[in-house]
Amino acid sequence: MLVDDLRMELTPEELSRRKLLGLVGSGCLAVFLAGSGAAIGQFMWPNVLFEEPSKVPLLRPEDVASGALTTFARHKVFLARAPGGFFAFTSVCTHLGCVTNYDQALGKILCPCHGSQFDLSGRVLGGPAPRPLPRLELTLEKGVLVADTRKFVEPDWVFKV
Amino acid sequence: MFGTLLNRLIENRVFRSIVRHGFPDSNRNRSLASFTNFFLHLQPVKVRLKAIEFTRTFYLGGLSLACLLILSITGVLLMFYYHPSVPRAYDDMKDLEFVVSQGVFLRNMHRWAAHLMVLLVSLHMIRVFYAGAYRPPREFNWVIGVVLLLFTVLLSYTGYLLPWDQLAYWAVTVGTNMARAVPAIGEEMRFLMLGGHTVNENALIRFYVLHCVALPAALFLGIAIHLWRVRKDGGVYVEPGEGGEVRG
Repeated sequence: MLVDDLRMELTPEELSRRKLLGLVGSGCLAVFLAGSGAAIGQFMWPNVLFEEPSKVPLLRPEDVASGALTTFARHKVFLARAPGGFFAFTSVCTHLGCVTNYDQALGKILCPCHGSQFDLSGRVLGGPAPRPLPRLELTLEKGVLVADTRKFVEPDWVFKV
Repeated sequence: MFGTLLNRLIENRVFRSIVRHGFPDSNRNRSLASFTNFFLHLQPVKVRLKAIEFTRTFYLGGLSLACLLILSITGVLLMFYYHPSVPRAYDDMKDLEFVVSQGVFLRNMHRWAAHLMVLLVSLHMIRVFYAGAYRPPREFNWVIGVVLLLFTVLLSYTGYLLPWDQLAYWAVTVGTNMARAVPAIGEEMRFLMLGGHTVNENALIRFYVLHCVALPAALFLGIAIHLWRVRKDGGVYVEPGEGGEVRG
């Protein structure tokens, strides 16, 4: 026999039990879905990364050329001498993340993707870049200048040795 | 003689169990042919002649679907040779071009059909807009269509990374940096998309799985709903009062 639940006679007791069970059921389903969603979100968030370490050794202070930038292509870092010290800044363009190139003949830093231009201390000269290339924290470890590619410092910060 | 042979072929229990209606020689049998066939059941049994004029739709939706079928077949074939890993991806793509038999044909079919599909889907959207085919009761199908456009673009974008050449690498670097511009959660969005801070092996496998499994599955489901709703709303939109002869 087919059951037509719309025509089924229900006592008030049965009706309230049905409502409660329905509520508990949908509640459980909601908790299950929310939990699954959160768990999948967590799963997609990697806990271990096999990326380059953020602290990258550059050069011994006495080996840094003056009047020109030294490029560290692998680490995406520029290193330069400043009066009384050194500074390093990222070569990753502040527009959309391409790696910029130091053009020694022009004395500028050029981005190949959308044509942003920077001077030798990372200030914007032209193009779509919204901000200067940020300077990176420098430290001296075992006589070698070490930059941290995730730690940004003030635009006029200079590391005095 | 040919007639008796054909009769013997179809007048038996096996054939009758597969096709349960006669030849489409009457309106009833024609309807049954559509109703009882899995591949035809999304289509209406009758259409207005005006609705199938080429200049009404330019067949843009159907051609988009044709592109998707080409992309599915060529894509599955390409998957047999492509390894989504940093050391292999670029070489596999080059092998497909220069070493694998018919590889360059399949790769180019996939590539051009992909470009064409984005174009056709965009034109389809413009056609529907200018025809006013988004009007009630079809408003929600327009929304589904926008979602399908989004899936198409995302498929195009995720497929972009897979050759793992310079263009792919920097296009995805630039694209995910655009996601970074989203207020408050931009940085996290980019991290989640790439599975890291840079475009690397995690990003490649993520884009691969999205491109080959997650997005196609979502797209096929969306298209099924899209076509089903078109059919339920009376087929291709014809302006009220425009009339038109109905043909089976």
